[in-house]
Amino acid sequence: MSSNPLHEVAIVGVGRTAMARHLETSTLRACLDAALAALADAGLTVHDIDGISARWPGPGGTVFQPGSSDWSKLLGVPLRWIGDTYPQGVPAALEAAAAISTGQCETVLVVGGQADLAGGGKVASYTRPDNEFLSCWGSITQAQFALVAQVYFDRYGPDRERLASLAAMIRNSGSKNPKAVMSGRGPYTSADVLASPMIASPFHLLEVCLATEGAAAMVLTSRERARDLPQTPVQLLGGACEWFRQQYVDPPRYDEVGRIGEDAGRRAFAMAGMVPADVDVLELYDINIFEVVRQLEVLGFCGEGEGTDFAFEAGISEDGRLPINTDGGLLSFAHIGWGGPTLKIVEAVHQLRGEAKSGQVAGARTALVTGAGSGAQYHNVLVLGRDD
Amino acid sequence: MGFVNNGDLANENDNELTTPFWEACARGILVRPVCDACGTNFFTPSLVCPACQSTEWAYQPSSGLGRVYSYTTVHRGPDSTWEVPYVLAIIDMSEGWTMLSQLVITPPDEASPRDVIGLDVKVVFVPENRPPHRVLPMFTPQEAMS
Ligand SMILES: [Zn+2]
Repeated sequence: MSSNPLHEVAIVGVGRTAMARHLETSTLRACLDAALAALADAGLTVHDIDGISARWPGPGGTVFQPGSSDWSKLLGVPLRWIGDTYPQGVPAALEAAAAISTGQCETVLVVGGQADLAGGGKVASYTRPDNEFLSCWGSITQAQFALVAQVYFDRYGPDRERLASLAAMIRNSGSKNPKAVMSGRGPYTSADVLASPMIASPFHLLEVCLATEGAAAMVLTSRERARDLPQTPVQLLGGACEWFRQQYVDPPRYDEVGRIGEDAGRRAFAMAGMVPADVDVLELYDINIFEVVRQLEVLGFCGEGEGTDFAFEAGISEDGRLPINTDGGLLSFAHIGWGGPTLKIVEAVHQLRGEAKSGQVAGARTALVTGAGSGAQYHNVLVLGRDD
Repeated sequence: MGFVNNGDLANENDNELTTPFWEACARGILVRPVCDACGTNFFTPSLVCPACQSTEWAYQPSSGLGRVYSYTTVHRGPDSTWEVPYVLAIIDMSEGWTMLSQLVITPPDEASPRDVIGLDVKVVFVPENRPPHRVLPMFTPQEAMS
């Protein structure tokens, strides 16, 4: 592994609220609960943090940017570094690591989520961008991904039943996870998946992610400081982002964004001194099941067009050779808006500490986390390792 | 799922940059920005040409002819006011620019993508059935589908 300041940073605490279709609480309250849970997990208090990435959903505070600055009053602590990182998850972890490793601050809290959207919560608007040359055609989020997937389907003709059974595997992991929003639902077969209502061709309902509520948080600090804290640290081994173009303005094309993540993945693995075969557990951004397959291809696990057969033959449940999203993922566990990407890191940390209550992959020491994908026209990759 | 800034910061609609596009649609003409300096066609409209950053560009009429690059049949609209299914498509226009639109065809739900991808299409103008009630350029096959 080549030397990189990133390697001197670790995740030392994670937290999340209950996940639900609807939470009877405000977004800010949910975020605060997740933040305090992550700090308690880390064996720290609010007075130990001097950096924050959180934005500001209100109530209280102001509309000034950066919204994260409003958190210093809420928590009663002055801050040395703030970042309104968007989205959270991988980019937030990488920004926090940059701040820590360049001495801007010592310990960063990252938190985000959404709640009470039905009751008029403020962060719902992300789900329906009102962009001029998009909204007039009735383009929903999954349709943007479907436009990419259709070209892939046309070109490579993936085995439709095998692809559906990959969705069933992730959903069935969620079925047996008591914390998943879809806990107890299912189990599903590939036939159930293909019989579920079409959302936007080629995607059926059981192949696309949830839209739920909850909040997730993580605490990062230097590896040096991490050694004095109670949890086994999770080290940042490699990470990189790609931003092709603003999402939901111009349509995504397979020939432009079909391979997005390839460059970020190559750089992240090089930083980590690893190859895909070295990864024990994968937390891939499963906005839909096509994205899982596409990401396996661009990240170098298999060739272009081979992802469905590759994953099906390996098995992606906790006892498979390629465990993916064994908490149920965005398909079945939860998807909490711009805080959703952080859920992937929370789960990866649970896995690497051997503490996943459901879907624990035995002996997992390395994890791969990704965020967004082709339809979003950006992608990001993080490689994590148990640091003991 | 998707992310767009705060929502509050989403694009301004019907702005100075794009009003001429909608005015031309109302007259039954599809236009697109063409750079005076380098000849690049681009869409969506932007302040400068994305190829050379020249501010000197103008809307010019398009042939209205294109080919379907990709499509999806949408069965769940943005809200219940959308009558489903409808067919979204990326159209590659003959002049070398691209736009998202709808296809005015019977939704090819059970068809293979090949049946629609690559289809030669032409523009038709359809009144928008919701505010702000513009005239929308949509696309229909150049030849009757078999
Ligand atoms: Zn130009």
